[in-house]
Amino acid sequence: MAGYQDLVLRVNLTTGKVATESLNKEWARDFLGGKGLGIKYLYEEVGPGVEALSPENKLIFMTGPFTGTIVPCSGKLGIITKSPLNGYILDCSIGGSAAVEIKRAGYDAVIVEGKSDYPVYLLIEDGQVELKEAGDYWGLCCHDTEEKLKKVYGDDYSVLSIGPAGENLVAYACITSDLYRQAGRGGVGAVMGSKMLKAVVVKGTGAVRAADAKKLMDVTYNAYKNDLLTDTNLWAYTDGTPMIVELSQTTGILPTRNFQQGTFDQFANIKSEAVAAAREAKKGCVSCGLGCGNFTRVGEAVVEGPEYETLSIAGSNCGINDLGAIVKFNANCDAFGLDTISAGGTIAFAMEMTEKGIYDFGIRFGDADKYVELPELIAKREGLGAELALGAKKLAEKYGGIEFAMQVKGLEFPGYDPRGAWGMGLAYATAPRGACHMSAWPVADEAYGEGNPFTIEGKAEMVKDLQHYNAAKFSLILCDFWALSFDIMAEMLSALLGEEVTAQSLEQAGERIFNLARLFNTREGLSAKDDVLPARIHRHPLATGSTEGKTLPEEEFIKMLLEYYSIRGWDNNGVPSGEKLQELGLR
Amino acid sequence: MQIKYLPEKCIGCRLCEMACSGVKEGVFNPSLARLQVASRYKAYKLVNEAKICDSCQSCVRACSTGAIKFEEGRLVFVKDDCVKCGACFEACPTGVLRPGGDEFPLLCDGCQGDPYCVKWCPHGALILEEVG
Amino acid sequence: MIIIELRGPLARYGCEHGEKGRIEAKADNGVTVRQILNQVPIPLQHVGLIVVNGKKGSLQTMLSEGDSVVIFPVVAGG
Repeated sequence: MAGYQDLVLRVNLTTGKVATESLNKEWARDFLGGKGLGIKYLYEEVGPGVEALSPENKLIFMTGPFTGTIVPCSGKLGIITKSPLNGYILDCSIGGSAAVEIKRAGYDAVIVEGKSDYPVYLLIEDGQVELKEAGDYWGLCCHDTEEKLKKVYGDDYSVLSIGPAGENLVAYACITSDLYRQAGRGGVGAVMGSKMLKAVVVKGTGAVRAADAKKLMDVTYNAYKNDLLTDTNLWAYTDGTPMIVELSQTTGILPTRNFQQGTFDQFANIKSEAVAAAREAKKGCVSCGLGCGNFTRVGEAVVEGPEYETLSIAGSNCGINDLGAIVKFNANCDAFGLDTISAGGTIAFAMEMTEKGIYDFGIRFGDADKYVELPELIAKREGLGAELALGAKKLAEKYGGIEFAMQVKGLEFPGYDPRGAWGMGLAYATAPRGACHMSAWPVADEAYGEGNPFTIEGKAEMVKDLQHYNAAKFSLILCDFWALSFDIMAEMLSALLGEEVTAQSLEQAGERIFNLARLFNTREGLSAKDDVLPARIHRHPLATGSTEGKTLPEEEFIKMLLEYYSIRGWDNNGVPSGEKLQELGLR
Repeated sequence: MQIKYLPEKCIGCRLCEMACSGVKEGVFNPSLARLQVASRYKAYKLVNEAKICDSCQSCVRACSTGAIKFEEGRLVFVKDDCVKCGACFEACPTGVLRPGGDEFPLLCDGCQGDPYCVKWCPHGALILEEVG
Repeated sequence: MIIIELRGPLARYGCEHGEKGRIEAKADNGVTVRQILNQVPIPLQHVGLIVVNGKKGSLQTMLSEGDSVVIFPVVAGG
């Protein structure tokens, strides 16, 4: 099948068995690749009640049909597993070069099962696959692990690794690749750690085929020049995500001091121009024509970033106004293997708990010196880090303050305050993995665009449509930052496969994928009671800026949520109806 | 005309290699591209490097069968005359010339003056330059 | 005088006193953001958030002497 390698690599760490099997073509047609196909495999193979950190959970690395071709922005790797935060579906993606290497090695996917008795890493060199003892690497930070492995195998290998946080099963441990790229959210690194898998080292030398390479190049070149490389997407190159700081500040949704405010007095210290001043180079993933990565150095600390999510959640939200401190914190999170969003969100919660006198964590807003040391303590579960490793929700369950533990389903909020973007509240509440900005990003319209942020009118429809759009796009493996239409996706996919795919069928695939993620979750017992926001969003008015005095009232939120269920064909408890499942071919 | 590489403008996307292999070989595989670009972090610095054919004609001189020629300002490969002796690879000073899957040399002919690698380069890291 | 800063890729549409992404306009009576952007000109389909004196504005916002305007491109994905 053009665009696919038709091969899945399955590695069982309990038995040490490595095997290949054909890709399920029917599933590939219905769920495309990446996110969608990964969810399908996990849905079929990991049943309800399985503990996320047990050997029965699986860790799926999934490429997309466009990965390894000329189609730009297709170089990301989907990572799908059961979430250690909540037992629901978790899908992440990671940039860099690993996805293209896996595909060129001949595989659409790598499925890791079981658990090793001792630390191992997986070495993939085209058809040669081996599990290697990783005792010498266990305990090392991500950067050191990668550098050491590249010394053995060469710079042209890609490495996916975990740091001490993943080894120690911290619930928001990430996976790192190409030194500075992360699959950040939801604890994918903890799942990898639970399997004692320190790293995946991969090199591929093979080809990816299109039905007609010349035709795919012609169709894609047109989209590349006239759609991708235009003023609508090139902000990713000129600025990257730090540009969003000023957008959020202006619209009053920049999380500040654990979401007590929507503006930050010293925002100029952390906005795009400040990051650009410390920038050394631009960098993109393999196949990306944009190049959002800002390789930044402040003193000894280097990162590819900091991204907006870090600048906001681990910056203004922690009351940190020093870009150098944020870069250092970011570099420490990268090294020790932590998600900067959940780390920042958890620390901000602890800061407010301390300042309110509810529980003294010994850290206050703006305490940059202490804050930069925390990633190491969290990853090693030492001292205060042992508490913070729990994440905001569990910390609140232990010490109080649940109304301002800013999380949904255990996953900490990203950098947009829903009180100034009501649709974003719905997106957080209904995203399968918890509070997440990758399932839908309505802020582009309702806060930064022409829309009205303070209404529920039209938001259910908007969030639903965006969820389908992202589900389809991330399954084909196309980057978030290319705002392309379903028509262009369909045109490129048709040329790749050599058969007609319509925009409408891709949109329906997006809906199918989103509904399958929901089914995974309802099978685990999820229902409407879990699609909720922290009480602060409903009850605490924002204190400053253009959102001063604003909440997202609970009755409005519930109205919006019920409307959303209804237009989705889900019942009032958030369970997809038989009719809807029939329509989508999920029954 | 010569293809020139400006490392400070390269973001490491490798679309140049994808485009080259796509148009010349009909598949997408950087190992079959007629240029090689690497953008990697080494010792906490970003290092961008490329190997690009500069038509030095060392391969032409090394080729004993006349399979590689220089005609009308560009390199030409005549497959029927190639005996796969490998002398051209040895002679190439940059190492950009390498064998393809069938062991024939992956010779850059500059796409008849309109190179795909340059066309696909997003931020001007590959440019066409007048010689001399 | 009204100062307009153009952010991201839009910076290429303006240059004043050698400073890329910056234009100055006269504060004529009742001039709107739209009129100024049309003068440059900047393709309006690429214009996203409009900030006037630190607050969200629109193409219809009327400008007066001393106003500072920042124009962002449309963005997608965070």
